[in-house]
Amino acid sequence: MKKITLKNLIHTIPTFPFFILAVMYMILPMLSIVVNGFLDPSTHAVSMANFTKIFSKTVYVKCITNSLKLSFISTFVGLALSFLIALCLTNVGAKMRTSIMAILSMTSNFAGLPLAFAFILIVGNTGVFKAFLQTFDLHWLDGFNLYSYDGIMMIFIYFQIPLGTMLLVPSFDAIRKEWKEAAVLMRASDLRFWAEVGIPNLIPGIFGTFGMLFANALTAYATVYVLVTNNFPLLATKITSLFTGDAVPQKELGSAMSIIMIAIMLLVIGACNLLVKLTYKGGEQK
Amino acid sequence: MKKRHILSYVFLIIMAVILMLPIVITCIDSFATSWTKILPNGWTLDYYRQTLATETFWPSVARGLIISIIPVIISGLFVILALYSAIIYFPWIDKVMQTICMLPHTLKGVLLAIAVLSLYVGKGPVLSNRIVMLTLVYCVSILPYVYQGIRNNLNAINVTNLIEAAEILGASKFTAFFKVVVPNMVSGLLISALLSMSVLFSDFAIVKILAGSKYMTAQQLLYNSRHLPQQLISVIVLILFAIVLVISIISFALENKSKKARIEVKED
Repeated sequence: MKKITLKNLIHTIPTFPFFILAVMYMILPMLSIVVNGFLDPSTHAVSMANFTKIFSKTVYVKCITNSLKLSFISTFVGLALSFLIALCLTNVGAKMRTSIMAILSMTSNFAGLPLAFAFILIVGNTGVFKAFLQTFDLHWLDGFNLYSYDGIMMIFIYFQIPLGTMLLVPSFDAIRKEWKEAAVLMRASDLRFWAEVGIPNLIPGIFGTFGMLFANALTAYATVYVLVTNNFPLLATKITSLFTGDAVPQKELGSAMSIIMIAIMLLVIGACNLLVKLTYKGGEQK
Repeated sequence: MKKRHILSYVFLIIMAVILMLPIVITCIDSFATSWTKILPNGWTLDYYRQTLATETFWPSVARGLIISIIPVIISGLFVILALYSAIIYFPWIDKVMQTICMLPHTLKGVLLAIAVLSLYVGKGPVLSNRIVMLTLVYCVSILPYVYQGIRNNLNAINVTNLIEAAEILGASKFTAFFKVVVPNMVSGLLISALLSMSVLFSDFAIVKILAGSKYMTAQQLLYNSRHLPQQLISVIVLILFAIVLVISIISFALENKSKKARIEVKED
């Protein structure tokens, strides 16, 4: 390995554009968020004022709890359904598998704004599915309001499924046929195979996927922005409105909210990694 | 066939139908005159005509495509240049690059955009220019895809041997890298470039936060159409989705091609 000396310093020049970009447009801005979050908006002294304000006002606490609830539940449900799909994919023929994978990768591109508008068309106030049910005098969806917690939850779960499945499939592929055959030869039941071989091998993939889906739900913006701009407070939309809203930007408060969001994300991803380490027995870590 | 397997087929088909429903219904709606009962009341192409005749439509799509292509080129170029130093002179730089490139996975677009906005707003004509901010934040947000794409291809070839061989034949390190290694990276780069493009073309959050109404992309046009008749919205949704789909189909085809090529090389 070469050390950087004056003579070969010249060879580091090609790395400058990359590092300048990374420092100026990722590292410095994130540092400024962290610093600003701990500054008092009026005196500019270091303080916890922003955080005490956030945790004492219902509107901000609501943002945090709403975002947490929405992200956790949609990730759990989305992951459970993705798990079942990935499991079923191991039982079906190659043709079926290819078509399902194609549908998954196609629907994973149908996200953000287009997805929100599609849901408005189907189950919005005058949605075609609502009209469809009404012509048969069925009233299942009468109490359902797309522009609320329920609607956002439905869309979040929808977009978690293709993504979650595509992230889980490689882990299922890693479970080799030979292991299953060996288990069958040793008269292990199907249930026992999955409990003792299958699931332990899937755990890194499952927790990794959980972290990705959670981060995705927590930071989702476009869907929420179209459906529930103000009547349902969430972290991502609230932070953005603190910086870019019609009112005077509240940089310090917004930064503190961003710090909370990053902290939640790091906690969840960190917990996922820890759980992988605690539950993974033996074998080579992928 | 075992009972369990039939259940698998049934479950997969049900999930596939549910997943496809939003796309299929949007598609039907875009051809409908109106839709208030079980089936649309009639069929028409008027909404397509109307959308395609809108003056702002194609310029917005073009702006969306331009702002997706330029960051991909910049990011790709910067990563290749840095990898040149990393591979030939300082291998430890690669480790640093890898860590940096994976960060945008956690610091998602929304956070990056507001952080950049609050730091550079009002800091001189270049830094506070919204288009500059937008382009460079896009550059950063696609780093995970760009880096991973290039890295995957580098892992498939033996870089050190290739460079040594080229040097023995009289090439300089520089020529060896750009004439031997880079062409080997191109297919991987192309796949990740297309993937990044489709991600950027679908972005609404970053462009809304950074550019506001100063740079009207296709996604923003879609947002501004939210009060128009539902069929017009469906037409725009469908056209934008078709563009993203075409980009990902090309990238998918390229990926299969390069996989096949790699298998053939191994068989030789």
